[in-house]
Amino acid sequence: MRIPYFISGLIFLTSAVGYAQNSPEQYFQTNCQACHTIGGGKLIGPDLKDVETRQTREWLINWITDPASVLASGDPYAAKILIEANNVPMVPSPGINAELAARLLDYILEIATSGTPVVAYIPPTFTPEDIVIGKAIFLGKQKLTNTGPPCVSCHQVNSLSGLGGGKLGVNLTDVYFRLGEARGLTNWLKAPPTVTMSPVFADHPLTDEEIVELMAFFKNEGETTNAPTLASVANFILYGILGTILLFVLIGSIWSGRFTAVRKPMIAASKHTKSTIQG
Amino acid sequence: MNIRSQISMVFHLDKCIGCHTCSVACKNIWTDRKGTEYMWWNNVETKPGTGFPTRWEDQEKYRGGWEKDGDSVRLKSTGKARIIPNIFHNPSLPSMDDYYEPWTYDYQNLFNAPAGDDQPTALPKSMVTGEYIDIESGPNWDDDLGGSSLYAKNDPNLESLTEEQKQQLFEIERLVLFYFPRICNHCLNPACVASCPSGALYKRGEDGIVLVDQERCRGWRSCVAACPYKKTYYNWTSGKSEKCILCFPRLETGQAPACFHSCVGRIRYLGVLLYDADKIEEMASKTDRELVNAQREMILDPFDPKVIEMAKANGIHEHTIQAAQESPVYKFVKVWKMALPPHIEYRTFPMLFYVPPMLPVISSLDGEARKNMAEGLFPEFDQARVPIEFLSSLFTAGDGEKMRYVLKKQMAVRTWRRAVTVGDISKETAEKMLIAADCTIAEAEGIYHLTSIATLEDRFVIPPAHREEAIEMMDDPLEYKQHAGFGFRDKPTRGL
Repeated sequence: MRIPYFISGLIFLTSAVGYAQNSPEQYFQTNCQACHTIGGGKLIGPDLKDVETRQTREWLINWITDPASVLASGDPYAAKILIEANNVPMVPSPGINAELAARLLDYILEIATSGTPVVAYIPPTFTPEDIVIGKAIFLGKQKLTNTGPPCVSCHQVNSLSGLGGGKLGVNLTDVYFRLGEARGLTNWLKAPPTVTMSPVFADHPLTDEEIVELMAFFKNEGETTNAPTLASVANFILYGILGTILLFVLIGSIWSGRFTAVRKPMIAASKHTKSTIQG
Repeated sequence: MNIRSQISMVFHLDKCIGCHTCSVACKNIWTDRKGTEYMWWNNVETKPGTGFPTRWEDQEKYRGGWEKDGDSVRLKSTGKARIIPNIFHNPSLPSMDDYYEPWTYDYQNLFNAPAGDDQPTALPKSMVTGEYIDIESGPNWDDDLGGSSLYAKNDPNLESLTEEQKQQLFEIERLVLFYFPRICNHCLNPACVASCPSGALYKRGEDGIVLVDQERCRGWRSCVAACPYKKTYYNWTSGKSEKCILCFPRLETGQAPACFHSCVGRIRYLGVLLYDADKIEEMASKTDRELVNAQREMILDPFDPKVIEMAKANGIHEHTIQAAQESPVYKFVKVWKMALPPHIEYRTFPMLFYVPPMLPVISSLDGEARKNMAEGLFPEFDQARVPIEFLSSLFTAGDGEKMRYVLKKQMAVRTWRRAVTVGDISKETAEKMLIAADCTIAEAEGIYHLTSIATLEDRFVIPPAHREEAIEMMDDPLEYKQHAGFGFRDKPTRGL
């Protein structure tokens, strides 16, 4: 488990430099598009068409480079858009700096004024097979085409029994509805923008079919299971206790006789032999 | 050649009477502090016996010393894989029970007990917990074969004996013992020094004494596990390890260590040996049987002009070289080849050597007449009550020939002296025995002299430490030349 994270950390460190050198267009596609459109309407985050009419450029650069601090400072506008986005906070963008943020704003202005036509979005239809394959992909039973890691290594959904999935990432039970249903989630999965996921999936993107299948699974999850069941929580505790006992038994059997005295066993052994001679 | 000097020792086991005066002298000077009660930097064991701590020679359990590893050696007690699982509690350490729980007696009760029908007694009290205890064992519990059916029978050296030999050894009329006094061997290749993760142990450059720096010691106890002789001890009050310091404050002032000085049987000899430190690794990685000779090979001839020149180049004082030439240890170990290292197979190259004990004359009463069981003065080695194999297991890594050589020489010297002083043996017979034992008359007289009539100066040849010269390395003795002298304790006041 540790090694993929170590590697992804390395990839992140090396790729962060690369991001800064990309064109703003490329950067927008890989890091912003998952949540934002320019003139295509609201996804998770707001439409950015008229963004500079709503806030000053200075505020925007601050927000793009360090959204967490702006939120923490109690800025009222930031709080407002957080609520509008179903409490999904603006994610920090990899390799961002003030200069790149300014170039991104220039790019957004350019697209907004050029009048590029917006392609209408047609939501996909999910079949029951998609749900089954999506679950297999989620669990890693079916390998991803571009060799990305399976979701379950970091994420959990409530319907999983036993020890469940990974606890490093967020719980994905209601991700379909949280991230703006099919349209938002498609964008997100095409290029996951978070600092953790972006470097992992940058070179191993999901295919369009995989995205549809995963979304079918997530939609089904969000509709059928709402809260972690008592059984799954109990199972987790039970497996934990059993595993601990098993570990101690294993250590105990491997290291039995680890601490041995010398004199007392010697005396015990000699008493034993004496009594057998007499008996 | 990298010549170093080492204060080395010889214990003549034939002269030891097992009185424990050495142990008591040491205890009174160094180890009657809190936390050191159980330590015996010097102890006297009865052999056959399990010693202190119990069965310390069992390296399967205690994992002390070195083992051969190709052209080099590696510590038996530790290694990269062993250190992690054992870092907080090393299972090869002796437990308190394997040493003993130190105790004192409730003497106050003898004075303060209320009037009663019985005499008051002083009950034993643990010096660790302060509670009354039942004493189950002590540091010399098997003294004089006190527990032979238990302790003597479990001597690890008996493993080299046949079943028949073992049975004979414990027949009541043949029962035999000798004493085995032990201190730190101040080894040439000390496992304790090599094992210390804090680098707290070191071997002094000028005289080879192995010491524990109490400032740097972090109480890992690696040295306790690594020393195959179990001669480093953990002080449970200070949390540091301690060991025999060969009374270096006494040595530096020209006195023999306390255990040497107090020895009633005068069994102890002390002197300088010069050795070649470059050869340690090569010699330590030889096979078990080659080790005794390998160690002798490392010890250099202090009369060889080349050795003297190299020693001086290495900073060894000419007085030390002079002491090495007069050293009784050099004669016993290298010239006469009579003193042998204990358990050389642990590959630490102990610098304390033992002259093995002569086998006692066996005689028995046959009716009214006292009868010697052997024809001559001494029995044949193979009829000896202590089997050669037992002594060889202790001193020559199992090589019976080397043991026979030493015993034969001792026997020849005694026969020669009997021919000289008593005259019931002809000098020709004695001389023949000397030649057979690889000994000359001059050598025999030398051995006799040092064994029987040696003076304090013959037995302890301590080189001057020359601290007055050593101090010049750090301080300029002339610095205060014009500062000191006549002065006032109080500021002088003039008039009234």
